[in-house]
Amino acid sequence: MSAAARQGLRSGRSAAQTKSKAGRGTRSLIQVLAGLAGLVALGCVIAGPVILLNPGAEAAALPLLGFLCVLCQGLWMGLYLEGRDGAWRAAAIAAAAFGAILLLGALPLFVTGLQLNAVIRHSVFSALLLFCVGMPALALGLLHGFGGTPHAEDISHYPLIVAPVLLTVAVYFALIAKILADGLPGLHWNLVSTAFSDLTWPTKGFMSDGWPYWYFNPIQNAGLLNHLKGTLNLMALTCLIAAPFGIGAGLYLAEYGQGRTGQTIRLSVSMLRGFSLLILGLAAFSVATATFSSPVARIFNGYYYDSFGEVQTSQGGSFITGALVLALLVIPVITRSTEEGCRALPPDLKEGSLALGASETRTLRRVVLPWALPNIVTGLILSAAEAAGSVAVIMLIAGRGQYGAGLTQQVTSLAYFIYDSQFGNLGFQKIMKPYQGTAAVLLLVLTMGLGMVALLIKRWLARRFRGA
Amino acid sequence: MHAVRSRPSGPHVVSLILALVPVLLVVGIVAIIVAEALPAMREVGLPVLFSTKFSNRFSGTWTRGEYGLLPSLWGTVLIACVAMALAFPVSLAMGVFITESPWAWPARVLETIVALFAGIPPILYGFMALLVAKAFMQTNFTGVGLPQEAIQALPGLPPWNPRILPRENSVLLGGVLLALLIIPFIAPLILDALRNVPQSLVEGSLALGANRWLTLRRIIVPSALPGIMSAVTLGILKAVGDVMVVAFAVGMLAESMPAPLWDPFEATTPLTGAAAGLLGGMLDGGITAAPPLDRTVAFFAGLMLLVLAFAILGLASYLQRLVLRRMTP
Repeated sequence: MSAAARQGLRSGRSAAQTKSKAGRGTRSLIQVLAGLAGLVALGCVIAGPVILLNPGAEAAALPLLGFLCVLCQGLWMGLYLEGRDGAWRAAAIAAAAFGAILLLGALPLFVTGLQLNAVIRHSVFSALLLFCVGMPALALGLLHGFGGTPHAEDISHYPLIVAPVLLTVAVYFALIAKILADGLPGLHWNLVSTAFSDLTWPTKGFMSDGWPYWYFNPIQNAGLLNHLKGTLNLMALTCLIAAPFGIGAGLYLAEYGQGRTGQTIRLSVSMLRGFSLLILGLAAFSVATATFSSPVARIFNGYYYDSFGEVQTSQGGSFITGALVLALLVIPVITRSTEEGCRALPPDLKEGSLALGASETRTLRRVVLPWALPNIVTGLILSAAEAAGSVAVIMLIAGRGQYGAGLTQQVTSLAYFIYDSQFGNLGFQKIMKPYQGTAAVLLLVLTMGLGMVALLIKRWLARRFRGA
Repeated sequence: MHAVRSRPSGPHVVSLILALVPVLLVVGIVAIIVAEALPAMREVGLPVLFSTKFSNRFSGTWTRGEYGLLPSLWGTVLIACVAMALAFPVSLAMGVFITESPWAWPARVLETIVALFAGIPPILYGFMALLVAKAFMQTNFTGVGLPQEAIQALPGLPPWNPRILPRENSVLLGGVLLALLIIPFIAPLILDALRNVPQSLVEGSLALGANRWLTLRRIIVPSALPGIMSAVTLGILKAVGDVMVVAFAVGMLAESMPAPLWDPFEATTPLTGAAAGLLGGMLDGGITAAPPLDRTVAFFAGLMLLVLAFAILGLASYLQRLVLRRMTP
């Protein structure tokens, strides 16, 4: 805490006000200077991101920093003559601004000594300098503009908290808007209602004299139907597989999980969450290769009929394999939400039920589980969203979904499609790359919609089942 | 519910059986990874695995047997540092904004927004990297609209070096998008930690005449430190383990160490990207397409990730215990 704040602390705000009556002239000069410096600093802080987005605006950097430098020097002189603490801060900011001006002037157009993979433009440096010099200058201006009291010190730190939050939220919204702008124009009913295919199919044709012959007819369709179906498949199947284990583990941890067994289960569930998604992907890959030439390949690897009508085993994993591994990813989500719900149950209700002679099973079914239901449903919805969105788990076994989306066909999903259309083979990219943004929009709407539904349904079910 | 200790009740047994399945699965996964990674140590050898030369069949010059994973390991460290350096201050600021806001509605709006952002899957951050950040990087970081030849002709430039060619993939880009991915996950945890600080401590500090900033700096944040540390640990684990943002924003190939070691403008792919690039999956003709050595080296990268995650968790819990011991004399 600065000495000014300490002094203000001792005397309080009323003392500051009485003092302002005595020394109105100098104080108001300092306040005017501080207010001006704060305004220019605010301009700097706003101009930083603007310059970053619009490199043409970098010409504003030098005058802004110059103004700030001059104003902070004036503030420094005023504070110094009045003998108040904080003068060194004003001096430091003025020196920093001066140095920044020199640096910007002397900066070569190209910086290669750092071995940067690209040449950094002036704008990036000027944006950084404006932001880094502007933030403390803004704080200083606010502090002395409000009279240097402890309350003013609080106010002077508001920008430090508010600026990063606002900037980050703005970046999120800008990115989401960009995705929508990129993908929405391509959204069309035909795209959603036809399935992708890139096949050659033997077709019978007739020559002009009526003689029949066979030729291979290329069938190329752009569409996302199978990817959509596959996403829904994965969501449902994953939840179905994960629910018993997740809910069971959550119940055990909440009701009986005090001992050593409970500790082990808690540790392993949190480890499942801490694993890299790639570890799960590698496990899926390993399972798929292990079953590839075994009798269960039809179930775990998936199959399709090629253009000669013969059954082929997919070079990947089926929806069942994908959902089994995705279940590992979402079991911790369901476990945690179930445990939370069971722990939120007031002990009176459970003890009352037991005291009235209900068996443990009955109490669990009629008292504990209904109470935990809102949390369980929320956990299931969130895990469905996670299953729809995670690619890393299935990316080593998933396919293009051109042979359908049955449970024993090769796994695919919208999220995998985005990855595939970026890195997949050129033929696929040629047909489907234009619809990458549309798939991203569909996925975004799906996952964020599920998140919103989870928030709303939790509130609604809590009112329904807990009478709250 | 522990009336009859000798014979556990029905729900007890059923839920125990169901709850033991995740334990077995964790053991099984670790066993699979270790079993598939062992041939790498035997056939490739640890000295090669921990060297700095790497190439796979997608790189321009593919030399067989260059399986050095050290660049990827360093890339993991770099990208985690960049991501956490961006994500941690912002998350802390969000937590403070929500707990300390004088008005209720901005805090509530921000909390809801962050909860919704937590649902955006990683692949969409990768797509954002593709869509916006690449375009942005290309206009901002690739010369002043000069053609390559003109840049090369500038005085003071070393002879032609592919590293200086504009390449939009970089650890910096990946780190920024990873930070955006991490913030919605750790901000609520930090918020919980800040909220669980006993109100009596805060009020005592305010009553003794400290202002809110001093209270925040000296009382609230130090008391919430264990919670904040576990949130940061989770964030680091997420940054280390991410695949999709890395694949889109950094790439899937780390051929050598970056020239100044800390250079964030190089595309030094983390372990996850290197493993995905080695296996290829369906992009590369299916599960049987990867050569056996590539395959086992990829699993070795997975094993390194596992060990790294365990090391991070162990270190974090040790530090947490240290802080707790200092807080309760």
